[in-house]
Amino acid sequence: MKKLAIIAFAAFATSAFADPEIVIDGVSFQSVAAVSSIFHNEASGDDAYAQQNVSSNSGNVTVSGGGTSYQQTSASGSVVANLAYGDDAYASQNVSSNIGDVTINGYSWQATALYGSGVYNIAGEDTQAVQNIASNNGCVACVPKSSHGGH
Amino acid sequence: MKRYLIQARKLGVAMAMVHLLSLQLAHGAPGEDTIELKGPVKYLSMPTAPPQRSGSMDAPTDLPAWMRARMTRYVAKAYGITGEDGTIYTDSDVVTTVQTDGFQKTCVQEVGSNTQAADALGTRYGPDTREQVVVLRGDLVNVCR
Repeated sequence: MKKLAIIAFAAFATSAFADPEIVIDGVSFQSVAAVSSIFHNEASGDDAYAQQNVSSNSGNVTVSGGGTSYQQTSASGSVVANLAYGDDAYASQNVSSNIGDVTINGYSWQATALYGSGVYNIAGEDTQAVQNIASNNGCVACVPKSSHGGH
Repeated sequence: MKRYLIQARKLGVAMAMVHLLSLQLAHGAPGEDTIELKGPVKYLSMPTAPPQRSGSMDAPTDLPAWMRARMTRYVAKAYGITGEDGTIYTDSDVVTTVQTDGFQKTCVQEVGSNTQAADALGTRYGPDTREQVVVLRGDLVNVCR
């Protein structure tokens, strides 16, 4: 019983202190298709954090050696807009992207096809607007904390 | 009688002379250059524009054909009768608006994505991971104020 308790504690301690991660060791297919749509992400309040993910992975992302990741977004006649205005507002819009500590050891396919569309990224004073399209962004601080509300 | 024969002979000689004179090379009209062909006609192979060839059936795009075919199949299924069977998630509009009175607001909107919070446990997507396919019929709006 004592041994079981020790093992259980060890397992808990390992998981509690392990880095959060998204590991893809199989085949991950993420695809979004839209026609005449609006992808709108806006952080307009004070200290507001708005994140919009489309065909994306946010966190510590690892595509292992045998893993394959497909990330694709296809849109026609659409608008992709990211806006940040407000004191210390932060707007993060990710399309077919990996955000966080990204490690690609396997195969990663990222594509964003926009036809007859527009892409906007607007940041006001004292704000940050980060827009990633078919990208890998190693910004660890860009991953929101789960303790924050409004998920 | 003999005199008539002599006259006829002279007339024949005169006609023959006229006929021979008519066989001379014809002179061109004033202002024309006469071209004499003294051998077989050969055409010069001048450089010309290459012949127009038909292009591919589809215009080249950044996506490979198999990926586009796969997407077309999903879109057709989403807009078809069997699109509501739960295999493909569709929404007319996805609008998220969060407003709190705290010091900081976090609004996360995901479509076909995986988000792992920085202080959460890890997630592993192995071989059994289901495909994340979304055909968005409307708008995707995330407003955090």
